[in-house]
Amino acid sequence: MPPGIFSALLLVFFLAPPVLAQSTALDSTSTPLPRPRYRSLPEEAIAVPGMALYIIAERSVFSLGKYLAYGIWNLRLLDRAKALSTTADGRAGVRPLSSTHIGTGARLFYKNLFLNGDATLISSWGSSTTKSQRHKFQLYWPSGRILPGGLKFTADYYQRPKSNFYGMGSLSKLIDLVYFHRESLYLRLNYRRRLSPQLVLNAGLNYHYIDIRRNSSRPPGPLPAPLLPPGLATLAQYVETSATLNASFVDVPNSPTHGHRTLLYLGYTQSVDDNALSHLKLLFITEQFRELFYRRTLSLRLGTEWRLAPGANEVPFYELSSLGGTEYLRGYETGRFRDRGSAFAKVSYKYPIWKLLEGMLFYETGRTLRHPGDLNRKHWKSAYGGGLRFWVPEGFAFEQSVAISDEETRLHFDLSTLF
Amino acid sequence: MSCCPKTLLFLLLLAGGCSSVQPPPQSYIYPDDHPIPRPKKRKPSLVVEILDKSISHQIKQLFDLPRTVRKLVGHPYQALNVDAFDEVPNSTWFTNRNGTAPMSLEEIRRGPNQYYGPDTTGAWTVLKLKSTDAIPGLTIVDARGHQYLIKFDPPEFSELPSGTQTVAAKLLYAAGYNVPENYVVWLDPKRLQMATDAVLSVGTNDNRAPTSKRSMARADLQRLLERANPQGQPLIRALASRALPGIPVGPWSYKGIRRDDPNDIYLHEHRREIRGFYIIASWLNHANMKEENTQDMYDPQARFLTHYLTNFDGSIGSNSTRPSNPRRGQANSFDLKDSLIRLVTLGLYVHDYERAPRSIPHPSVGYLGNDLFKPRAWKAMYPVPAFENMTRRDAFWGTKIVTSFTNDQIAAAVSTGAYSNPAAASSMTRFLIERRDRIGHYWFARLNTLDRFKMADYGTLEFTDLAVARGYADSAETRYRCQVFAATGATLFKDKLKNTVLTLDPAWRQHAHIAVALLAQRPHYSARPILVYLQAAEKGWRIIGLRRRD
Repeated sequence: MPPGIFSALLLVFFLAPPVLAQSTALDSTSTPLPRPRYRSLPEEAIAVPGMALYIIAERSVFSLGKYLAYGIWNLRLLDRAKALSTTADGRAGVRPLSSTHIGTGARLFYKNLFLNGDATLISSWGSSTTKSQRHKFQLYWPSGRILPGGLKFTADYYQRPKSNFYGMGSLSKLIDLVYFHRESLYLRLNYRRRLSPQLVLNAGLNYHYIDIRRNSSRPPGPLPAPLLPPGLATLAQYVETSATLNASFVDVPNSPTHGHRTLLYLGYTQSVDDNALSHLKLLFITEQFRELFYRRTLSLRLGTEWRLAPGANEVPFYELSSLGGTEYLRGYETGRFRDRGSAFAKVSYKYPIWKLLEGMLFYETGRTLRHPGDLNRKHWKSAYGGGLRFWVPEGFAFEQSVAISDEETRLHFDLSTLF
Repeated sequence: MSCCPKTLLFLLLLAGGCSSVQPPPQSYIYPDDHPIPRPKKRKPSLVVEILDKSISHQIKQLFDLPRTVRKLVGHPYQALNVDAFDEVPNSTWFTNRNGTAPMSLEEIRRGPNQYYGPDTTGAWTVLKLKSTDAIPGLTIVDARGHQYLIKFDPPEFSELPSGTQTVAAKLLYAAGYNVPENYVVWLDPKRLQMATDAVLSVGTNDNRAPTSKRSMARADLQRLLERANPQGQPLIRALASRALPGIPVGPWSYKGIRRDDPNDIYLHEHRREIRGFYIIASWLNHANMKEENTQDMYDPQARFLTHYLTNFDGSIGSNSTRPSNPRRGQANSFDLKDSLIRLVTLGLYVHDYERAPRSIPHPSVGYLGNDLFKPRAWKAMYPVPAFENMTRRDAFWGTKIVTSFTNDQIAAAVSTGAYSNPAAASSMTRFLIERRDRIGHYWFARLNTLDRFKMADYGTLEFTDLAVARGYADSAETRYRCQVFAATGATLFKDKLKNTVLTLDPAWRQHAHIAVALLAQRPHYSARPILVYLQAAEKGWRIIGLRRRD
């Protein structure tokens, strides 16, 4: 560096005394006091380009964030929006909703509608590729209003013009993809009773009407006979009875570090028309949590699901046990593998990043089964990935993850459920 | 040979070698109590403040090239409001108290208090009730007409917030800051009577407008008392915090100035008493440094602002309604660096505060773990711009104040917390003493600890080595390097002193002024010399200023 420039820098940074700026004493209270500088004018000049860059960022990005935060926090804009979309007595209102599972829509509620039951209507529309829509009406009587437990009536209409079916078994190929159109109506009555702080029992009675047709748009050409699944091109009606037992022995419900959870589901679906599609459903999942050190937690989840058709009945393909999607084998398309049975396992490791933010790594494996005897080491599909999880104690958990399989890399966001 | 580099450094640092020494410091500190019009009330947003300090301000500092260069080369910006002796003059922000002249134990116990608490000879009239705060509270007026905010302890941690608030207020007042009058009181519910226009305010925490406000009913008060006193004791322990004098005009900020206060001319991040507050806050583990915990009060008669610190229930062993934890003071509430380390290492890196035991032997004083406390690594809950600008000179100023508290003074302050368990009070006293000593040992090993210069008689300069005087260094191992310069830079005298007295040669009076460079020498000690400027007076010498170096 030339000595002249070096001397100038020295002068600017070290020798120009900022204290010179505060020179004269105040002689009148009416005169504004001078503002002492903490650095010299040459230093101010050197700082100008950096400050200009900062001001651009400040005005364009940070200010926006601050205004947003101010609006939400101080002006309570969300609270106001909530108040605006709720009647004065708080009985009725409307709320927006959006998620990758159910699409975008709205939830309307009306409290104390019938026999003191709380009514909800949820309408949602999926993305432009699936073009699905769902309209669900619920009437819920919390524990103690009518019965000792909670009672819920649900009417659920679901339409999905473009669902995937790749064929049966773990060896199904991507090129075997068939699209089908699905339209269904569920009428459900569900009773939920807490047996103890850890045990919850659900009993359900459903009426189920479903219309499954092949999506004629693609792929063109006739469907190969081996791929023609039971249940396609039928209008079917069912009555289903089910019971679910949830056991949860964990320390923190939304972010366990030790303990275990188990779910057992048993249901029988009876055809109430000419179709011989009656079947039995069985689902068992258990998950064990173990803290390795300081809230770094390893969990192991094991599960199996079965559909059994008695006598001459067959299991409709859309009711088959499936792997892939948002819960099991997340690296694959929803319903990628289907068969009468499935077995799956997941190992995950979660670690704290911030108070309510966790990092997560997982490895999942699973396969579909025709018979329990098919269970061997072959044809297991696996996926792995990681993500971030934001959770609120006794509240919701939001999960953003990426899952990688040999077929694709999928991004999920999810308002987590226990299973 | 080992001392050669030090000698070289000593000479180099004496500003320009033989040619000349730097001139004596000149500084005029403007008084800040001129009459001003009443400023508008500030209502800063907590969430905007956190975003600003945690992200926006950090990026701004990165873009500030001169500041970054100065930090890298070890010449940071120094505080603006210091006098020629590197001290903070009394102002509406700060009053020199225990740091300059020891206060008596009675003065420590009294602190800012002018009474013994709300008047107990008459009824307390309830004006307002805050129902959704973490700690329920009510505003009352006593028989004297004084207004108090009554805050109850959470039943599961009785004495914790009220005791902590009281003790911290006493210590901060003695340190020199303006704080409210806090009293531990035992409230008789029968004494409470409702004002006709009493108001119930819901959701008022974090300086936000209440979600609802309505006139208050006796049943509301009854519910609050039941919540504060589930066991139905005849007297309920609470904290009574007297309303600050004047008109509240909102909190002050830890950076910038208040533009509608013409007296406020020194950028707050460059005020010594705010920068140096880092040391005092680290001592008290007063980590909740949000602006809401400060207050500007306008005096309508004298017409100027006084600047207060408020709300200390998140200090020492308390975290407002519950005990503190090992993380407090170790990391910001949202600590980007900590979070990134965990994210990148997949959680394999475990911070010390995660490993630390969380035992709480005395719930009334909270968590008093000191194992992790490192004086320079302490962090407030949110980044504080003034703390980020703290230099060693600021640190020396703060350390001087913290170490000025004797064990007896600390015990006297703790006694005002009125703890029912003497063992709890003792453990808090030990906690504060241990932290004070860690601060003293750490900072006095890195700073020139020579202070309190005075002319003992016409020809003798006396000074105090604070490290020795306060027990952080051994006088037997300490010597003092001394060099006297003429204004021209010529060396008049050079020697090592065994004690803290320098006899000045009358022959030096021929110079307009002289500069005395002094530096203590002892094992494990590294600092830079201090320059004390003396001017020949009619009889002897007059100290006209000093220069400390970072």
